[in-house]
Amino acid sequence: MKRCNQPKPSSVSPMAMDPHDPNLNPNSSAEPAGGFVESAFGDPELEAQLALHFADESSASGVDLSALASRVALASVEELPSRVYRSRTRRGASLQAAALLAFGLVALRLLGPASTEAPESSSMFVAAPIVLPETILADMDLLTRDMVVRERTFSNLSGVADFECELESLFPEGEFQCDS
Amino acid sequence: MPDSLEEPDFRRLVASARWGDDHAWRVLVEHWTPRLFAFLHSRCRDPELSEELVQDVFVKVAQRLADYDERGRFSSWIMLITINRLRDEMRRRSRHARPVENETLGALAGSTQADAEGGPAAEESRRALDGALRSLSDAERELLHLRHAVGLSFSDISELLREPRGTLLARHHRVLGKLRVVLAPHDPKNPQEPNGPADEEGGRA
Repeated sequence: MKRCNQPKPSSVSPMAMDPHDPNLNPNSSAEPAGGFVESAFGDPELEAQLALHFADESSASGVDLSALASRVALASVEELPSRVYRSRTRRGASLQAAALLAFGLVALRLLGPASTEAPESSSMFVAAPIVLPETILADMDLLTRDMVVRERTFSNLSGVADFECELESLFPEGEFQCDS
Repeated sequence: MPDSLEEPDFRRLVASARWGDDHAWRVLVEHWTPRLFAFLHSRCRDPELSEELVQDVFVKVAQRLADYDERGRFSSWIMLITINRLRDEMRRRSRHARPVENETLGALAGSTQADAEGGPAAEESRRALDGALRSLSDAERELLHLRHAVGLSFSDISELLREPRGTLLARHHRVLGKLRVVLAPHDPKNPQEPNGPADEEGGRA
């Protein structure tokens, strides 16, 4: 391996010597704005030796980098913004659904048809129109509005532009800002 | 593993990953994992810690992907997160941290892989390079790690370290000069007699 004591300007860009360089495009690195020619500051042989040396060190660690990349991808993918949005809305939606179901059950229990009204011999449940009191209706309305606000917040975070329009179609009485 | 990704590719992949494209995210992770690991391992000399930090960095990158400003370079951005994470960890473990200079260098230089891949001359060369790297300051080593372990361009390093590119080029040139001086006695084709403490005649031709 030949190496000189004196700095040896080279016609070969060090970028081209480095197989790991993410910016191998010679147009982006060899003659950059600012007037510096990287090859004039380099020593291709020594730089290649350094790159090889660090690569050897890395492989000598005994770590399987492909397996590591797979593990890392798996562990981090759920943290991507869109995934977080989805899981939050999923979680939020299931909470809202559970709350609505609970309200419904309470309402049925409180205001459903009295057991005396149904014939005892009949095992069939006869549904009757349910008139919910104003307080429960107000609570459910509040819950729905809260859900809408949360959805809107998440959609804004994710940059969904036409979400307002979707909401407007779902809740025509709401004050949404649909541009289309 | 994609080896020829450039900054525009990173931007495109980041944009896709933001919208939940698993494949784009995997490509980014596969491209950067060996580079981050090489950098972290060269800095802390601890494979397990390096693995752990690589994972932490990607979790952090994924969490912050929505905040990534596409006007900046992705390479600089991810390396900044990596360096900050490493510094945080080193501060946290300061009492137990393993300094770069004193640990495992000898073991690495004398690894069986070195013997297998290049014979005694190559091993001697690696050992000499280890010694030469140890003679550099931490900032000088960091520059070499960023440039040759990660493969960053000088433009990336300039944005990352917030130093003018010309300054970095000049420093890099000086560092290579220092290495050449330290390595000169180990050069088999150099007629100069060895005089360094690490010189061993056994590996010479």
